[in-house]
Amino acid sequence: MKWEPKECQPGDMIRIRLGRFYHYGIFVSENEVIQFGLPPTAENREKEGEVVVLATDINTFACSSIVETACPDRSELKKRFPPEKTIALARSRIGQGGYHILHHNCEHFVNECVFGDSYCAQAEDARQRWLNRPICDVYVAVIPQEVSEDGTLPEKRNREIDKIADPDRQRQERFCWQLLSLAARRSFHLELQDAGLKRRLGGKWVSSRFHFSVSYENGLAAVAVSNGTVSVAVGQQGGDVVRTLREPHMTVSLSAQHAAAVKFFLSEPDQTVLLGKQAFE
Amino acid sequence: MKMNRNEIIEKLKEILLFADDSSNDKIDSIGAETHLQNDLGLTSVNMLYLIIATEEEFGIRFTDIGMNEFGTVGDVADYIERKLS
Repeated sequence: MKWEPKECQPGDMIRIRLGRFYHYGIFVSENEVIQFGLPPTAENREKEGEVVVLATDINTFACSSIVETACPDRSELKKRFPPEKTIALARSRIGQGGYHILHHNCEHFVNECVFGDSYCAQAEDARQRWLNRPICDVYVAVIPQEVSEDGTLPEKRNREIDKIADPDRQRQERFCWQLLSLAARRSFHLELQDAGLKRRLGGKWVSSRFHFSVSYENGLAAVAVSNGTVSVAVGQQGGDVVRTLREPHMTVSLSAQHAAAVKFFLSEPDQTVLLGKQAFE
Repeated sequence: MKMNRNEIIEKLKEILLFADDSSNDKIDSIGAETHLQNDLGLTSVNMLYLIIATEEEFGIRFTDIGMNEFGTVGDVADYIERKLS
C-alpha cells in the first residue's frame, strides 16, 4: 500500500515513523485518532500500565513527526470497509488490551478496523528477510579413526561408498557424507533422504533443495551448504574466502555466491559450535 | 528436531548475527549469561528480528510473553526449551 503525507479523511489509516518502526492509527478527526497504545517514544515507554486501544488528538499521535495517510489501490479500496464501519469498529475497541508487539500490535489493529484482516507488514517483512536470507554454512571436523554407518545416507550413496576399495578413503567419504547429513539438518531442516539428491552424469551428486560441496584431506573434512552456488576445499588457498583454523589446524577455501554470509561451524562428536573470530589465525 | 540447551544457545548465536550485524565481533563471548541489551546493546528493532527468526527457526510462537521480559540469552533459551518440551 502507498502512503503519502496528505490530508486525512475520517476512517483513514494513518501512520508516523519512529526510528525503523511505524506507529499506526485510525483518523476520525483532529481531536480523535484511535490507536493501539501510545506512540512508542522513550517518554511513552516509561509510562506504566497495560497497553490498550485509546483515542488521542492528532498532535499526541504525531509526536512532531510527519503523518502519512494510506492510499489504497483499486483492489484494496474494494476490500476496505466503509469509513463509518471502520470508525465504529475502532471506537468499539477502545479500552481493549491484549497487545503483543509481534502478534497483536497497532498495525494489526488498524488493518482489522479497515479490512477486517489482522495483518502486520512490518513483522511479515522481517519474517521474509529471515526466511530468504543468504545461507552459506561451512562445517569442519576431524575425521575419526572409525566411522560406522549411521543410517542417514541415501541408500544409493551408501552402496557407492561400500564399493570403495581403499578402506581409508571409504572411511573419509562416509564421514564427509555424515557431516553433510548434519549440515542439511542444521542449516536447512532437511534429512538427506528428503534433500532431492541425485547423481548427475559424470558422477557429481547434487541436491534439488540446496547447493553443497564436500572436501577432505589429511583427516580433516569440510562440508559447505548454501542456497547459492558453493565450492569448498580443504588445504588449499584461493577462492572468495580463505580461513585457517587454529584448532584443528586447517585451511579451508571457499568460492561462494553468498561469500559475505559465510559462517563456520566446528562439528565435534557431542556438539556443533559456531566459530567466532578467535577460532581463526 | 529435539535440541538440548547447548544446541539451542548455538542456534541463538546465529539468530543474533541476523538480528544485529555487530554481534559478529562478540560471538566468542556470547553465552547463556550474556545480557541482550546491556552486553549486546540490542535495540527494540533487533529484538523484533530476534523473536521473529527464533519463531521460524524453532517452530514456536511467542504468544504469551513480551519482548522486554527477556534479559539474557539464557532467558530466551529457557523459553524455547519450555515451548519445545
